[in-house]
Amino acid sequence: MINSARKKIITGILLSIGLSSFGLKAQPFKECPTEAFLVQDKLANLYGVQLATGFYQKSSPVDWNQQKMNALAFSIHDSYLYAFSYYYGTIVRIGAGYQVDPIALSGVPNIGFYVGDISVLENAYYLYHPGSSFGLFRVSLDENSDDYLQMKNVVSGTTLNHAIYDLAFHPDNGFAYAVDRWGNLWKIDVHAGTSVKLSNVGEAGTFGAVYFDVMGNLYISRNSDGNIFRINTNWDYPVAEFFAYGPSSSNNDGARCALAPIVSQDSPTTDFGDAPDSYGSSINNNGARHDVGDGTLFLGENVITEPNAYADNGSGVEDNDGIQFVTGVEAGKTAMVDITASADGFVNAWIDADKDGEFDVDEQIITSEVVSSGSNIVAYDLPTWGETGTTWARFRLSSEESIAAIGGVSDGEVEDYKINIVEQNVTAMHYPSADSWATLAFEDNWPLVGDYDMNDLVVRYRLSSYDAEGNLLRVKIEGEVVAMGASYHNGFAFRLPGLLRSQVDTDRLLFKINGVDQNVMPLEADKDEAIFIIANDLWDFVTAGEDCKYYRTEIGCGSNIQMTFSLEIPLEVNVNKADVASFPYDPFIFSSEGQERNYVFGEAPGRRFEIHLKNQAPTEAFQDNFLGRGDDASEADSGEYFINANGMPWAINIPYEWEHPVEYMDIKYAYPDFHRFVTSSGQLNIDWFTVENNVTKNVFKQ
Amino acid sequence: MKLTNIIVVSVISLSLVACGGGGGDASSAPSSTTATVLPEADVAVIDVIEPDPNAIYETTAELLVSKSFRLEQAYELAVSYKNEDNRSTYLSVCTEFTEGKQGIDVKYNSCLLRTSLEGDYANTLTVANDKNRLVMAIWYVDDMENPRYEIWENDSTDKGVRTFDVN
Repeated sequence: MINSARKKIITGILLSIGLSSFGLKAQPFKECPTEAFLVQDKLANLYGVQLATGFYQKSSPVDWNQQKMNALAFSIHDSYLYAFSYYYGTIVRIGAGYQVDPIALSGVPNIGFYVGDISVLENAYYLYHPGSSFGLFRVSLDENSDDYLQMKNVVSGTTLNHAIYDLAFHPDNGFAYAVDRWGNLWKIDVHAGTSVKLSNVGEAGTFGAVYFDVMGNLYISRNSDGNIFRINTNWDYPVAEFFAYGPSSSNNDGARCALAPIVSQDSPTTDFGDAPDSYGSSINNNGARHDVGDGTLFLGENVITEPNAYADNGSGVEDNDGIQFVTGVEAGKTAMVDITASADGFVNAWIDADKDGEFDVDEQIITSEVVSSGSNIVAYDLPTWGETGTTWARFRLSSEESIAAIGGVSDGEVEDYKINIVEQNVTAMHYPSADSWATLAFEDNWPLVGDYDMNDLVVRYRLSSYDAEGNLLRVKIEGEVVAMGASYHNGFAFRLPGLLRSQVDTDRLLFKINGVDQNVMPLEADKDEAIFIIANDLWDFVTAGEDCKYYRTEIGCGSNIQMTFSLEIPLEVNVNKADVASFPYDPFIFSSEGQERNYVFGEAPGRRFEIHLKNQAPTEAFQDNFLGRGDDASEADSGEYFINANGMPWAINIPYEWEHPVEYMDIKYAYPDFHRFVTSSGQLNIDWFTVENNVTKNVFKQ
Repeated sequence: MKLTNIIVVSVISLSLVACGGGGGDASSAPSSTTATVLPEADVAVIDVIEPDPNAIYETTAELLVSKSFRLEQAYELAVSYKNEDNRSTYLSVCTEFTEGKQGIDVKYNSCLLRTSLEGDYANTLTVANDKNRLVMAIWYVDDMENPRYEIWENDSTDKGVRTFDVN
């Protein structure tokens, strides 16, 4: 209740100052700021809040000296904040410099308002107070209107009777929304003074600050614990989902520009994970996210802000650097990680042990683990029911002790890792290493000699094998098509020499292209050998750039990588590892069906045409009498395959993330040491292929 | 120098216009810094090839390669670890690590080998030619705070089987 004597005095002062003068002092806020505003405390403080994470910091100056305010509102019409001041007994306008200017109104009841917002569709401030003498009031802030700065009662508090503590206007439908103390969501028609109950959102309490974003999501902040919930008002029956840990207060009111996205696109302050979105990574899926805050608490050496998961922050800095898996991850065994933290905090972590694409409660491997600045060795147990193969792990560092696998927190960092769960006592071998690439480079004009730019097809790949007690259990092949500098239509495949088709457990085989499960069985039919067809025609998956003839080989023809692939190949029991060839197995290309080749062939050779690495015998699908045609000088009896009379092959394999020559550039001019390496039979210039040894202008750069 | 480079690119571009999809044939392969025509015989009639390490070829089409040399860019490394007391151990062999005041910091995503052990271990790895230093990280399940690290350096003059033995 406002002291009526003081109110009369203040009103008199305001009227004597004149209403036209207040606008000259304060500057408006920047247009539609991303952050939310929160006013708290008896001696008022104004905070900026990142709703996505709950991070907040005091915005108002130390010597602000403002008395209690409430019913905070942001006007998109003039970019000022407005509030009801209990000291002045009227509304006040707050500028970007936090100057507070009281505004005299006519018709103000003798009561304080703690519920209010400014409409998006009209320049009017709506305030609510329960009780038969009060209810919903409207104040026009449009100086061109007839009722400018007149406070008019829309409906009494008897008719519109709700236990609500804030309301917010939807960004585009004109209705105000509020959640009462029992969790009922109300949609209020402020013109008619009526309301409709949409749902019970499933969370009760005093929601003293509520906000909208531009997508129609309503955010409600509970005074008692500061928890922020998100309600998608577009749903038929909207419910609250926990969204972030925010500031708690007994006296709380919030406002924000309802037309702003929840995370700034230009100046994000948030770190996201990068696991697939089924795990909860993006803002739309309430992904795990941390405000970088004051920048003191993070994993590893740094943390980079981004506007959303998967967004390229453009820094080129890898900030997934805080977790080292010092042991493997074996189902049913204790494993260890080395967690590097920048400062003291708590770590919570999950592994998707059942590989269902979600971090379930029973998949939390580390709970509220206290870590200190520096290296922290932490042991954890993986469930016995953990399924082998590729899955994801999530690590979250925060000053918040107990957090879930999704949702926002106000500090720290989230790091997601793609990992492999293996059987107990398994040996994992990787080529060229667990996360680096080898490169295959083909000249595809076989059996005619090509131009040796070695970029007709360039594929990066890595291999892993898993064995125990002499038995090969699984093989993993991952790769990406980096360049195609020729117009022939090629398929691409791996044969695992020594492995029979019948030894592959096809029921559990996983094949993905561009991260998407494929319905086709890559294991080639009607063959005795285990041959895995990655693609029958790679041109089905990549395209040349605009005004470019080929894919990523010509200068100025860069593009993103358009095709990635992965194969997880579980094997039947008792496959003797010694019987299967060692890395790099047998990668090869073949001709796509129905596609013409060069003049050496009378008809499209299709699958009968193959090009392998030097001295690698072709598969059973190959037509043997193709050998020796054109420039091919293979001598099968001597184990010589796919070489010309000079001994040069049509394909090379480099255990390195190799930068291929640009179109038509002889490999010699891109890699001057290559010839010496070859003529010395690998004795000299053995690292000819490294980036340090190439001629930058002659290799393809993105 | 710039002028020379422009000439090279021009010659290459002109000579390969007619290459079609699969790239060029020998006669239209990039030639040299001058516009000389390559001899046809380069890729056709040589019977026994034993390349000369000191030979200089203008183009790769002329290059002579030992038929038995598969252009492999990696070497074999035999690793072994003797597990004295048959401790429960996790062993990794990796290529990326740093040595600092805090000790050795291994990047475990650079590993070629990872295995848990209860006894001795031996295996042969394929190591890329540009990797000349490897680390073996040995973690003991019963003593998490005291891992052991052993570093191996390649002796490029050693032409025999390379070995990385840790006792």
